[in-house]
This record gives sequence, structure tokens and C-alpha cells, in this order.
Amino acid sequence: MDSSYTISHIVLAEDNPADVGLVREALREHNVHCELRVISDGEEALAFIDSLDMDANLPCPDLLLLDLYLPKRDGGEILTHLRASERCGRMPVIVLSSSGWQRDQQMVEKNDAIHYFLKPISLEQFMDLGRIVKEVISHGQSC
Amino acid sequence: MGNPAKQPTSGSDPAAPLESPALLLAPALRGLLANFTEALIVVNADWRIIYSNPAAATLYRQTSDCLMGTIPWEHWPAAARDEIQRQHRRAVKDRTPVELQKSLGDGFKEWLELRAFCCDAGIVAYYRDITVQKKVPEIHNRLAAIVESSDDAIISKDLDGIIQSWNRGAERIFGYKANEIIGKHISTIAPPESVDEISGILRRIARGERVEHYETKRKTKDGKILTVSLTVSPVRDASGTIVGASKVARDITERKVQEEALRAANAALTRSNADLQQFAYSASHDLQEPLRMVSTYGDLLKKRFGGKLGPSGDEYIGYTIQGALRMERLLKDLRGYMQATTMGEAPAGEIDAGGVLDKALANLEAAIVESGASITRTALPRIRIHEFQLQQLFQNLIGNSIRYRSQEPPRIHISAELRGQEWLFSVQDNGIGIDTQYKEHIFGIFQRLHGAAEYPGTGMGLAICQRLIERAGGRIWVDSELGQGSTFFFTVPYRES
Repeated sequence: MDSSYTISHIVLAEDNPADVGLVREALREHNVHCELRVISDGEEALAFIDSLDMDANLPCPDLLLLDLYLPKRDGGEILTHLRASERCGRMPVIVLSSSGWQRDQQMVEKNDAIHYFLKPISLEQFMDLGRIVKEVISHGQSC
Repeated sequence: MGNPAKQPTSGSDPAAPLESPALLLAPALRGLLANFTEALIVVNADWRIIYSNPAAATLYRQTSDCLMGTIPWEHWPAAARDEIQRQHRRAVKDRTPVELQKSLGDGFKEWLELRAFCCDAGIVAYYRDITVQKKVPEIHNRLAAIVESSDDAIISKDLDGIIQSWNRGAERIFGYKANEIIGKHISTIAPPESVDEISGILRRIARGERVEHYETKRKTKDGKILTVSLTVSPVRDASGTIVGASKVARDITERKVQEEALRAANAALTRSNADLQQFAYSASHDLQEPLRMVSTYGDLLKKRFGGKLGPSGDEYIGYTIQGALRMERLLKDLRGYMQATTMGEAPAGEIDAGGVLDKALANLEAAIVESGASITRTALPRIRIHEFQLQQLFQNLIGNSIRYRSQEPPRIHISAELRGQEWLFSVQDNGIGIDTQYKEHIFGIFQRLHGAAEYPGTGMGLAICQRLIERAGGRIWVDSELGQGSTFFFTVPYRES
């Protein structure tokens, strides 16, 4: 099955609208057909994960795109919370980092995220995110 | 064992036709003289030596053989002979001991006491070494002068802690005159909280121990509390029994205050340095974010609207993107500089500088090929430095040589030689060179000598090099003239493994 014809559920936890725009552009560029839900702060992200555990009717998203620096709660907390979830604890995650700080990478390694994406300065490189998302989603479905 | 008394029997020496009752000395007497620690000679009526014991031979620095037939004062320098002769004769005539000096040839003179008297055998003269007796007052005076002139307090006390002597340094430091404190207990100059330690010190002294550089508090006559460093040693009498203690006290109050001030200043400096580092590091990362927006959305504008906004529109977008990219390079180099500044840990082992140069050249390959650069080198040593530091150094310096090339294709030579306690590396090129007046300036941060259009760069490369090499305990400098090429030198401390 070609994943590009399936509608995927992707959650983007990102507070910067400009970055949301770039993510949408990257998904469009690589023909990722998806329903993108945008969450713009850490509290909301935690509440969303809880809601998935409480309501079995809600579909488990195919992918979480997680910015590490969200208002109120940081990415590390959200990752830990997600991995503890019974229903969706194995959801693939792509961490979006703008700093490239070593401690970001260490946090990600500890939490077993699928991919670490350093937000690049050029548009062309940012567009590569679309390709990575596509790969992660198709990999998840083949399992 | 030598037997000097036999010597005259040889008799064949015309200078010494000497027959004398000395030959009749009983063996016991001869033995006694041979072992006598004082120098003894017997001379005839002409003052020629007819017998000398081994101690006399030692005194005259001659063998007994050679002394035979000579006259005692012949063994003094010509200038002193008349005086020495007079003294010898006076010793006999007045039957009184005389003092005379004999040079030992190494600048040191020993004092001798000569006694002489007539007997059947001739004149018996013997010399006693009185150097020590003569020197004691001199040494005593010299030591006393040293003690008196010392800036430190030098105090002696008996084992009960009663002060026996008190020098001028002690008067100056503690304020008591010698006559008001001698006979008092040493605790007079201890503040209440330090009184207890005195008995401990005295006990250690009684056991023959020394107390060295013991830091404590003492009190002056007008009640001021001083920080002093004490060295206390046992004083022994002639038989070796410990009878008291000598104490040297140095007033280190001022030093302590200065040390504390220095420590505080250092701590403040470290703190503000750390703050500054933290600030620069955060700023460079925080600036990155808005910059990324400018850059990516500049790209997006170009992608969506390129060619649709007219020539000026395209130009403006171009400048926006270029500006963002340049800012990005500056921030990246600033972070590199911060990292070079904070790299704390010493390298664990030695690395092969030649191998590191290979890696640096591999990273520069595109620029080397494009510029047609030829690169030569001497053998490079193994040195103690972080690999990334050395690689960065080579990369920045060789990168500069290629970037600032003249019309000629770059020729770059890398060499290393051991100079004393350090390795001296050099990177030499045939490039455009550097005006001598900018030799220091170029190592500053964001310092550039050329416009961005002429030669691109952020002005951080050499600043990073300087910080890296300073971290490694070395130095970096340049030797160059405009149009004559440049040679950058840097040193790395040499440590024997």
C-alpha cells in the first residue's frame, strides 16, 4: 500500500506559527496526506495524551512532531508522559530542535524518540522533514 | 705506620748533617708523638727541623722527609716570613705562647698557638689549632647581627615557656621591648583562644620535634590580633639536652588580607566570566531562532514569488537571504569561539599531528583543488593536545592561506621543530601577506582586514585559533609583510612521556 494515499493523523506540538507554516510546507512538498493537529503549549500536549488514554474511541495518532521548548511544560516531560501511556506509548516521535544543544540530544536518546530533527536555516533543508515524516509513517504502518 | 724518627739516619743529605738525641727517643715516646694530634717539631740551634711528627707534616702540607732540614718560616709566604720568624724566636725567648696565622691556601686562615722551649735535643715547638676559639666571638657577633636585623621576630624560650631572648623584629611586630618581656611567659603574646596551643608546642619541642610554618594568631602589646607563621625548633645545650626553643614568627596578617582579597577577586572574575560565557552562548542560540525565520521565509518568498516581484523585489529578497546566511556563519563561529574558550579538560594522551593534518586537509579538499594549492610538510611529531583543537588550528590557518592567496596558486608549507621545551609549528604561505601594523589586531574577535565582497569571512578564525592554542598552553603569532606571504607560528608545550 502506498502511504501517500492514506490519511495519517499527525500531531504537531509547536508554539511558533512560522515553524508550523514550514512544517505544513514540508508535508505538502513531499505529498504527505494527513490530518495535522497543532498543539501550541506543553499543558495542552499532556492533556491530549491523557485524553487518548481515557477515550478508546479517539484514534492513536500515527506520529508526534514535538518541539522541545514549549510553553509551560518542556519536551522531556511530554516524552516521558507519552511513553508511559498505555494505548499510545509506542507512537513514533520526531523531535524538532532549534538549538542543537547537546543536552537536547541526550534527552532524546534517553527517551527513545524515533528521530531528532535539527531545524535548519535553509528552506531546502527544512523541506527534508517531509521526506523523513513519510518514511517514519510508512515504517509504522508496515509493522 | 711511618716512623719519622728514623729519617735523619739516612745522613746522606748534605743539607742536614744532623745527629741528635732525638734518635734516642724510646719507642714508646715515638709512638706517642706519632699519634699526637698537635703538630710538633724539633729544631736544632739553627732552627732547622730535625724531627716532625705526622700532625706537623699535615700542618705544613709536606711529608716529614721534605720537612727535614728546613726552617719553619720558610713554609710561610715570603711577605710573612720575617714576622713569623720573630714570633718563633719570641716564643722561645719569652717562654710564652704566641698566636700566628697560617693560610690553608683556599682563602681560609687557621689560627695557631705556638709554644716553644729549649731542651737537650734542641728546640721543641708545637702548634695548637685555636681557630675555633678565635672564630667563636666573630661567629657569635655575626649571628647576633643577623638575629637583630631580621624583620621576623626571633624569640627564645625555655621549656616552661619563659621568654629568654627577644630581637628587634619581635619588638617591632609585638610592640614589647626586650626588657619588658624577657622573663615573662610566652602566653603573654597569645590571644585567649590560642593560649591552649602553647603547651602543645612546648611538648613537641621537648620531644625534639620541630614545628614548621604553623599559622596562628598572636596579640600585640596594644591588643591588635596578628596572623603569624611560626617555626619553632628545639635548642640544645652542649651535651645535646633540649633546654628550650627558638621561635621565628613572621607577621603574615597583610599577606593573609591580600590573599583573601585576591581570592575574592578571582572568584568574582570567574563568576562574571561564567556569566558572560553563559550570556554569549544563550544569546548565540536565541538569536539563531529569529534568524532561521528570516532565512527560511526569505527562501520561501523566493520560491513562491521569485520573478514575480520585479527585479528590485528579487534583489531585496536576495539581500535578506544573504544577510541571514552571514549572520548564521557569525553565530556559528561565535559558538566555536565560546567552545574554544571553555574547553576545560587536559588532553589524555598524545596524538599524531601528521594524521590530524591529513584530516584537516581532507576537509579542505574542495578549496585545495579549486585553488590549485600545493601543500608540503616536514615530519610532524606526536604531541599532547586535543585532536579537535589541532585539526581546527590547521584548518583555520591553511584555510586562510588558501583564501588570502595572491595571483599565484597557493604554496603552503607546514613544519614542526622542537625548540627547548616546546614544539614550534609553522604554516607558511605565498599569499597576499598582512600589513605589519595589523599583526596583533587579526587575532581579535570579528576582526577583518578586507571587505566581504573581496574576501569572505567572519573574522573569527584566528580568534578561535588563539583561544584554542592558549587552552593548550601555547602561543600563536604571525610573521608577515604585505605582498610577501605570511608565516603563522604556534607552539605546543613539549612533555616527555
